[in-house]
Amino acid sequence: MKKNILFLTIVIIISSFYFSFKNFNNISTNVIYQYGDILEENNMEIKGIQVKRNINEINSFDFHKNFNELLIKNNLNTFKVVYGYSEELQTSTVELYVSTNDKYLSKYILLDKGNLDLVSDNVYSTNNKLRNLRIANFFDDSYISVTSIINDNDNGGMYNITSLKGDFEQNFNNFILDLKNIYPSIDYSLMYNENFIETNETKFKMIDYKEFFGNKKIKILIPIILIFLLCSKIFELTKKISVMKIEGYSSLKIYWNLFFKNFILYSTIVSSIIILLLYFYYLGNLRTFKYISICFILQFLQLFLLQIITSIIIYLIIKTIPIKTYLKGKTNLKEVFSIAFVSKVVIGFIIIPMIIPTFINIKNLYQISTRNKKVQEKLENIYFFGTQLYSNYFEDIGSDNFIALHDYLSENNELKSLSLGYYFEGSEVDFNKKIYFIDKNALFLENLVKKEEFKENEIYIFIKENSMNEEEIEFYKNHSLSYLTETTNVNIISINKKIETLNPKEILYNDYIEDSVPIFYIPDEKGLEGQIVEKTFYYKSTNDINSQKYINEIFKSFGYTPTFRIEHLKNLYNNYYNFYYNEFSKSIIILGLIIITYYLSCNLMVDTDIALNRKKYFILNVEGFIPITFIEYFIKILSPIVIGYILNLFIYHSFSINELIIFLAFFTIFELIMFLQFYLKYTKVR
Amino acid sequence: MKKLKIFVVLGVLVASLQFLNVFAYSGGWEDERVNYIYWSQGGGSNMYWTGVTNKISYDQYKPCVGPAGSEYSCGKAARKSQYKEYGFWVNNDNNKIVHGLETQSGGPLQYIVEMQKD
Repeated sequence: MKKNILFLTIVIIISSFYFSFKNFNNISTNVIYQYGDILEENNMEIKGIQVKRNINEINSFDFHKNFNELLIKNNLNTFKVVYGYSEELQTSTVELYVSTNDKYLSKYILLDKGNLDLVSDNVYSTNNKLRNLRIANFFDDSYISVTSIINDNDNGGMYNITSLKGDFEQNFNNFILDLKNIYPSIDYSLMYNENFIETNETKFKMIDYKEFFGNKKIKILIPIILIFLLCSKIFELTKKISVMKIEGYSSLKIYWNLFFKNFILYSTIVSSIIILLLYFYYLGNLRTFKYISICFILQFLQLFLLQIITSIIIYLIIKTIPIKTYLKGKTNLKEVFSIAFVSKVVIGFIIIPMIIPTFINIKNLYQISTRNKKVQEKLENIYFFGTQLYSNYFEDIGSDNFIALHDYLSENNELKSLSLGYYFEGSEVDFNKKIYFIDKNALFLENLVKKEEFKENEIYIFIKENSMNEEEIEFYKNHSLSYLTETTNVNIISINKKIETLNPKEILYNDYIEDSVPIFYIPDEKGLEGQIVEKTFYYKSTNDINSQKYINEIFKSFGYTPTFRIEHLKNLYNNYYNFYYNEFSKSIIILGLIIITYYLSCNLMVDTDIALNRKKYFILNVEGFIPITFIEYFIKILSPIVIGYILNLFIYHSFSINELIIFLAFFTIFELIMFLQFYLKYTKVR
Repeated sequence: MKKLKIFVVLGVLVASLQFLNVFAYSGGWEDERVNYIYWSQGGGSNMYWTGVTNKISYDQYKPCVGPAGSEYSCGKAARKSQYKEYGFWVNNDNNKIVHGLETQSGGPLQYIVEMQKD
């Protein structure tokens, strides 16, 4: 029994440690995402300014050194956050740059060892091998870095400026004047119009306690599984328990001696060892040790308490074991049987609605996994215009030069739009009504309209043959007109070919646009022609740094400063892929745990049934009869799942025929396997 | 009575297991110039949307979405009576998203709403 309790404790400790990683990683890096909140809480106003990248030729070290010095001179400081993706690390990246006079970051950032030194050229990151430069984390696959603004090599972007003392407006104006004296061509724009800003008043919290209560299903299932496993051991100790009762021990005392005392003891010892190991690991930074300990303890307490609650079942078993009648073959375990019966009803109730979605998730997991390689290859050379940079390009909308740039990319880089949108009415968006938007270049590339037949200023709606009735077509026809200021002719074209999709979420499952979704071509209005946002393009290199350089050069040749951060469509797709892969896998793990719990609850029912009717099964076995028929087994052991199903019908109303077939097939196979196993158990009763 | 107690205890267990999916957030804003909406698809899909119906003719509003405190991205400009929407993915770990409108004539981002990610 002691060995089993030790095993149970170790499982609880390992699980707690595992659950605490994510909390700790969040605590360690939250400051990067919420730095503005910290400043606001310290009553520091923030002005966001976007600096145009027309000064990129200036040495970035010199530029930011001067920038930093002028901030200090004018009692200001800054922080800049840059979001990106690293091809090399295959992960998203977040870089935080702060001025050297920053006084808050070092209070919140957690390093493996030592303290933050912003005056040096140190770059602190989550994957640094040197522990004094490593932002503390466990198995965090994203890349986060923090360093001084002097190390920023991009002379532009969004700088958040705050005032340390004095009049902010005056400090800020002086800073801009000083900066313009050194760099006359510097151009900036204010980010916010403060008259309209509305923010959620979220205070920065080093620890967000809500985050500690995630993974509820798994956290509840682990103690249940462990206690069910322990229950089978308790049945082996019925003789010992009876003897203890004869000796005058109360049920509570026996429960204390057999389980509770050992569980408390082992938990204290093992968790103390873990905390001691963490202490030695983070000896160089006791603040980091404090937070990882809090995470571990909070997760451990949850599982510990749940384990104590679920261990009531052990107490009830002990309580129902009679003082001496066991030795005479009489048992009184009806209450335990009732608990096991109700447990199976509950678990059946939970498992039934999960079966269909989990099977769908398994199918989806298979589908996205098998398509992954093909999609990766397909998107190897496809890029899109991501983050918008402050640029003179947007001031030139609709001009000949602006349109010429669009046409150049259309001709040379297959610039096209196949974006996904949703039908809306007022402020209500209907997620069930998808609409694809296609541009002129995509129309020709997909051979939907011949160039010579194309009518420039008219709307086109492409509908898959026989996929819509007249009423639906009329609905979309009227809706399409709401995208234009003037009425124009709407061409409804029935198609029977498949159109490729580049939507990163949809391409996980399909190469083509869904048949039921209409495809809209809405012409650009006069004065707004040539916009390239939301479009993808092809570039021969598979490296996004090269494609960024290429696009910057094209923009430069048309007289524009860098305008977009170029992003690989493959990276966006990978983000979706990883997200859904984890989600689908998680639901399968949960189902697996529930099935184990379900199996163990059946096992407990069979054990208690055998304990209750040992004499009967013994006689039947000795006389060569079948100890239990399937009908008896069905009434005793299977009836809870039928009750669970009926409860589901009451609560969730109905299941479709397909769902019913899957459900029946699953349980028939599963219960038959269990029956064969448990039947052997009945035949071995002696 | 004992069975009833057991049912109650396990009923609570069921209730605690039946926690629900996160719902998408959405909101909007309307004045004499624009009808402005924003929403997320929820469930951690990382796609955040902003839509605008421009009611005036002299400026073109672009719906914009992005991470708080950094550069954002905008969709196409909407003219009078025209609706445009824009959806964009942002860093998975960032929990504050900015929705706003930018005018074609430049200047600061307007109608900004900073939302805590679901």
